[in-house]
Amino acid sequence: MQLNGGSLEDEIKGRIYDHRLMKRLIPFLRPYRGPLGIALLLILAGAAFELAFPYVTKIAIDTYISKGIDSGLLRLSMVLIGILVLQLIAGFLETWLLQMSGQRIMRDMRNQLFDHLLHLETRYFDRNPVGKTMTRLTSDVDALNELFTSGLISIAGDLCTLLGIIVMLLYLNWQLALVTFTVVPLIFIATEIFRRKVRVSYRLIRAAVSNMNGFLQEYLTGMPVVQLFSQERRAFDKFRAINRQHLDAFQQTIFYYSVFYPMIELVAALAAALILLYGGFQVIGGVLTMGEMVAFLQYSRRFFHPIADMSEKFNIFQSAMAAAERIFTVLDVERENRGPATASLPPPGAASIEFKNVSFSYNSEKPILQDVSFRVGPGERVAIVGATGAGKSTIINLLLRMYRPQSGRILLDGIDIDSYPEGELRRRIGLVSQDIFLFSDTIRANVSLDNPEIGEERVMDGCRGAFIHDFVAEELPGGFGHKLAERGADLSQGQRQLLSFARALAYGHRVLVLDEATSSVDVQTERLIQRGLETLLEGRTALVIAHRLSTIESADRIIVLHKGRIREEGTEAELLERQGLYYRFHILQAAGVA
Amino acid sequence: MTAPIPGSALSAVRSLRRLIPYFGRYRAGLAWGVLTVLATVGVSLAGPQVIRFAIDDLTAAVTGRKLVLYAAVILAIALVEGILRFLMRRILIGISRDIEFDLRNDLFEKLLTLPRTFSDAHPTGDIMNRCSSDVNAVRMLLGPGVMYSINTAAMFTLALFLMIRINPLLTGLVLLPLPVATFVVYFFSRKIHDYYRSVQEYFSDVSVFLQETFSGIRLLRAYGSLDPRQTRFGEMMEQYVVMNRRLIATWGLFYPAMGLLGGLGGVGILYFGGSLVIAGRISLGSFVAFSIYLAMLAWPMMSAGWVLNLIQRGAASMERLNLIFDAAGVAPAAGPMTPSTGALDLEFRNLTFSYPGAASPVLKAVTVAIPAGSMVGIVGKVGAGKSTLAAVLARVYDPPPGTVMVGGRDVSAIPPGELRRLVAVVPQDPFLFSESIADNIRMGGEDADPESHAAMAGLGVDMESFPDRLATLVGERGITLSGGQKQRVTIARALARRAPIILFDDALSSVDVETEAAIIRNIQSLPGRHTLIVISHRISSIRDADLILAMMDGEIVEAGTHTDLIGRNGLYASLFRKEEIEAELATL
Repeated sequence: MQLNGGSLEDEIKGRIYDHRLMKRLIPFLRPYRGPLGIALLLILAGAAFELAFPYVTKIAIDTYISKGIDSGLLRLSMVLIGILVLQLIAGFLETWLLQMSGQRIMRDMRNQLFDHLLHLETRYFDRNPVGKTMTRLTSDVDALNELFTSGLISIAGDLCTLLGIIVMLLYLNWQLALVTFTVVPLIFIATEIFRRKVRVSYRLIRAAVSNMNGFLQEYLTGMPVVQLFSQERRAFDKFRAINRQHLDAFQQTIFYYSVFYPMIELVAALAAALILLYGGFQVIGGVLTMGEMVAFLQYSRRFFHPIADMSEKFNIFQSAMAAAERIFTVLDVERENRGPATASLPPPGAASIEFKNVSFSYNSEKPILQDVSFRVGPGERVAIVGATGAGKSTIINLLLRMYRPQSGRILLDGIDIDSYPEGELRRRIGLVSQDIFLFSDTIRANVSLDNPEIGEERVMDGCRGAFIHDFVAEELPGGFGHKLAERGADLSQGQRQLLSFARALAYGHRVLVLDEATSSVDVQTERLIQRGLETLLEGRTALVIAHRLSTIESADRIIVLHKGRIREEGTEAELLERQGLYYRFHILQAAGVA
Repeated sequence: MTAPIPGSALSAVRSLRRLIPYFGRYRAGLAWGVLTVLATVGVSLAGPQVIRFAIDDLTAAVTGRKLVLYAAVILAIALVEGILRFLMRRILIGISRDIEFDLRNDLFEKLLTLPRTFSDAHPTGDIMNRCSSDVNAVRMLLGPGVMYSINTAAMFTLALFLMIRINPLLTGLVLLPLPVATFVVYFFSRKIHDYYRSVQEYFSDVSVFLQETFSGIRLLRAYGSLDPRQTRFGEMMEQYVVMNRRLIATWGLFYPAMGLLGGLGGVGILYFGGSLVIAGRISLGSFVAFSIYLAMLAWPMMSAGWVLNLIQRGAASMERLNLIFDAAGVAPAAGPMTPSTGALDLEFRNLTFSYPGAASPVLKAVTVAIPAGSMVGIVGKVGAGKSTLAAVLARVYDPPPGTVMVGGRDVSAIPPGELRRLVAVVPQDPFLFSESIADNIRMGGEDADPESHAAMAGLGVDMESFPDRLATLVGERGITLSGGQKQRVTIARALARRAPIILFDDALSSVDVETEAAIIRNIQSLPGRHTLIVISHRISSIRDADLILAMMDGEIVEAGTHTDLIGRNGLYASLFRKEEIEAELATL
């Protein structure tokens, strides 16, 4: 694995606002317009409450304190306590409504995305690594949530507070207000410079962090090589350099932050000085009351937060737009054709498979299958034999409609598989792959795959048939409710195999495709698997991609696939006699080293 | 004294002792930092005093000149305070980053010395986590943690002093909510942290679910079981919303509660302070100054709770880092050092080896002598123990003493550095670093000649096709090499080692037969006699070897030359036949 430098996806790029994307996001918000609307109102109320405090202080000073009347103070204090309590309630409700809506919006999005992904063609998963697909569902959705909850709504809140303060100051004393406002451009300039500088250094930080992670990932993985070649010193020097780059990037932002916050404070002090100076003269001139001046001082302090706050939100917008772009790209991938919704089909009778002149290639250049025709009659067991890359697994993929052939027809029970609705097709044909996939879930769920049609009885029967029932019931701590470790790591290879047989038995398909594993197992496991296989294939129509000699020998007929074409077909005795391709495969298998 | 229980608060705080030397390195800076914190607190508390005098003067009578003076003083104080704050952050947070830098360097240096058994027990992701988020948590403790602790203590002491001087009773009344605030912050931020973690943990379950769904999508589709999977996901998402609920509730209550507590102090001042002004006990200016002090105290008191959490988390993370710092490194050389002399014959003496924690041995009583300068081929099925044999020879895993001898010396007595100059390994996994091809080859030895080693490893023709020849970067930022090309670069790297013993651990699998033969010829034509050990799945690589070992289930079952073993008609012979048939099939 080689990782170094920032992956492109980590880079935040793109616009701050994209109308086209926003329009597609709106429908996700619509079901929650009620709570979101109330949250917005509560934000307005919160802003109003916040503004009330200095004003009440002003009244206290002007009407009571400076005039020496103390009768009204208690009442005013009560009013303030009332406001504080309301503020608490409004603040809580606002967060609650906003964040819960955010959570529900994320839930909806994830459900929709998940649904969409499950219905994409198998090809999509060949092309896109699982990790990338997961990122769409996890961090990209998170980025959008950030936009809804912290971005849009709180910007509205900040704007309201700002507007309220402006109105309040103008109302109290418009001349003094205008004097105070003269510092606002300074704030904007300082913030803007800061924002630009910080954005550059954040980019440096992101690069530094991802460099460091890439380096660590690579060197921790490659540690044996480092040690084998005595490269410890050199590796350390490289790490030190990357660590230094990391340090420098952070020291730079520390510098900007160290400058920015005191700068804002300085501007705030400038405003206070102006108020004191200009307001002081007004107080002397009797134009301004003492209380009004104190209120001015208090309001002006609250002025700077929202401005500084808003500039921090740009990043949220940018990464949300980038995430939305990626999410919609996935949602725009066309869904797989899952056959007709309903179809009048004859009841499953014959249980046969037929390939008629099937040709297929994954990319149009290299043909994988060429003009393949064969038939597996009811109750027949046919083995397909061939070297790696001969096209054996492609036959399975086509038969299970994971891919569609470029030409030719595939019939199941005499009917083209394209005519089957998805559910019906899956009910008629089953797959047992010996590259076993187990979920980190209960034994029960691993057998039934949570399919409601597969009840407890069928799970038990399946396990019994696969000779694993007693083991599960008696030796696993939770019996059928025992939760397996990831990939079933707590079972032996043989047990995993049997569990996958149990799955197929529980589903009870009359037509089975069996994909045998290539890896060898010990003698005892081999015997277990043999026994399980026999019950599994008993009385079913089966197409077996065979690797084991014993499986091949037990087949009614053998098809030899070589370089995408069927080259030989017949019973084992016939093929051995012919001394052709199969004869050679047979020797290979017999050597036990294939 | 009994050892503290790991994970307990006590052991966590003790884990911090390792940080003391780091502090020592920056003591001058730290002293300045503490000084600036104190100065900042002092200056910032002077501000309200000016406002107090200004307001008192305004209430009485004031001249314009005095107003200008006050405004100027406010600005001057703000300027000095700004500079001090700048220095404070820059020095203290800067030092925390410096210590983080040192800590991370030491961590990585330590990791470089840890044996394979350590990385087997600790997945890469886990170590990465320790190097990033745990180091970060320790840094938060060192930077903001230390800075705000000092700041809070100083601010509190000084402001308290000034407020008491204005009016002790009022001070007592309005400060009442503040310790509550500290507690509330401590309590809430811990709860939030815990809830957040359980939400995260749940989400990592969701991630596992997603990962398994997408990895197993073919199976799920084949069984027509996508719908139940979707239902399950829907339920998980529902549960996730439910889990977030208490986090949001706590979070939603947190800030408003802080607002309420701060506000109550303000109301206290308004009511009690107002009454005191009316009663003539304090001036209006003092009243205003008082409320500003309260506002100034609110933040440090709240941050106290936050800082407590920072310290706790930092200490817990330090404990996790100590797991690495305290891990045992590769055992250096056991026994006396003797310089290597004479022929480097290899010998395995009754070697039985099991991996740590494994039940059964992977190598059973392996005994074989390999004379210096010979070529040995090792064949056998997967899991026969071939690679383990290579690993103990290079001391990737330590063999039991006295079982593996190089030049008559026990490998356990040879320092790893020296041993690895004697044995050059071409590992099974052709791991290359994302550097230039030449740099990858130079890893073999500083005096490497990448061009000639690459040519010797059969990269001659490929080299011309790389955009910058050997200066071409490997990996994401460069080109993607084919499996065979990668293998040949790792071979060139091993050749650059110029070691007397060269070991190929199934490292020719993706190279075609002709190139393979050429590479082996090249090595054998090198000046000096090289001992060549080739582990291979392909008979063609080793049929001309002086000695061929066929292994099965950890034992050497056959040993001899190609002709000997074919004659014996056993494991080797069947492997050979298989290869012949495969070659034949490919042409049909």
